[in-house]
Amino acid sequence: MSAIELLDKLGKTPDLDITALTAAEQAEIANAVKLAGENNPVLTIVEPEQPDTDDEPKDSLSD
Amino acid sequence: MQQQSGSLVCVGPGMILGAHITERCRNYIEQADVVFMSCHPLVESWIASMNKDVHSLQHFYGEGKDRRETYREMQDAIIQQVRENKRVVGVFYGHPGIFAQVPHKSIAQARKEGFAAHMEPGISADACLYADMGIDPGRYGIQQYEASQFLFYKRNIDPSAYLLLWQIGHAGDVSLTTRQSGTAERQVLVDQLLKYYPPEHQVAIYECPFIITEQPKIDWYPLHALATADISLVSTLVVPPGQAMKPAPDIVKTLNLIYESS
Repeated sequence: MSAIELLDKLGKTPDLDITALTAAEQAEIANAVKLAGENNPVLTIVEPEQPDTDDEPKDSLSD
Repeated sequence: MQQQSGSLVCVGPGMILGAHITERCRNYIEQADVVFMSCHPLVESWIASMNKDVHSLQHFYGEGKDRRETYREMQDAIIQQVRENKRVVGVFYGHPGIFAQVPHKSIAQARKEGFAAHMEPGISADACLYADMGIDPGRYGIQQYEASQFLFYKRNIDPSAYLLLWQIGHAGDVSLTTRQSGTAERQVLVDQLLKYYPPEHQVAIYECPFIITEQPKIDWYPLHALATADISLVSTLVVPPGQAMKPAPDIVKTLNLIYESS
């Protein structure tokens, strides 16, 4: 099994953890994690001044 | 406008590879003509095993590149395939609609152009946070903001409820790039929070793992030390309540009168 397949199996099997894997399988997972690196996880942005678009809430109460 | 044959569904496989994906989500991915993804590299490899035509959106990020441009390019790539009348599925880690503007904007644009488009929920990072940290959002209430939004705009917070600040790794960054903000910017955040909480108030940095073999990161700090905490781009700040909820006896009295007269 590939590292991905092993992680998938571990993820969906509550009574199975990494200690049930062979040393070679554990090493394969560790290597896959190392090689994978990181992703850019941020998928939203907030600007200091919001552009004036039709879907922006308008002030409904007077000051 | 006449319904066109292309379609878009944005799905979330949850946070942890293999553990959170629903059968429905997997079916959407498997049956798509083309799949776009923005997830951890291991998760993207896993998604790639479900469909032969998958494309990561990660290459649209660039060091020093304005993220607004990145997100526009992601949206354009998705919509282009929808316009070619394909069944397009966008896979975004966790829940596709939580702190993720590309799925929402892509769906809105697809619908505007006459295509069927919708979003399917997934297990989000905050769902994992509640489980990992033993927090019931209903117990004291919870307020959630994007960390930079909390700084750029005047937000009122209730210190008797939980406060979650998302994207704390970018807190106060005005470059709008992939840059992680530094100690000075985080100190501005700390100074704002000190208006509501004492310096020794314990706050946590939380990170949800992407694979089941890793443990969640839950590191506690006194608020005054937050600026130098170990924070990454997947970190969330958890601020527990700093004071007791204040009863509203007049409202309770009114409600009792209503109930007694019913």
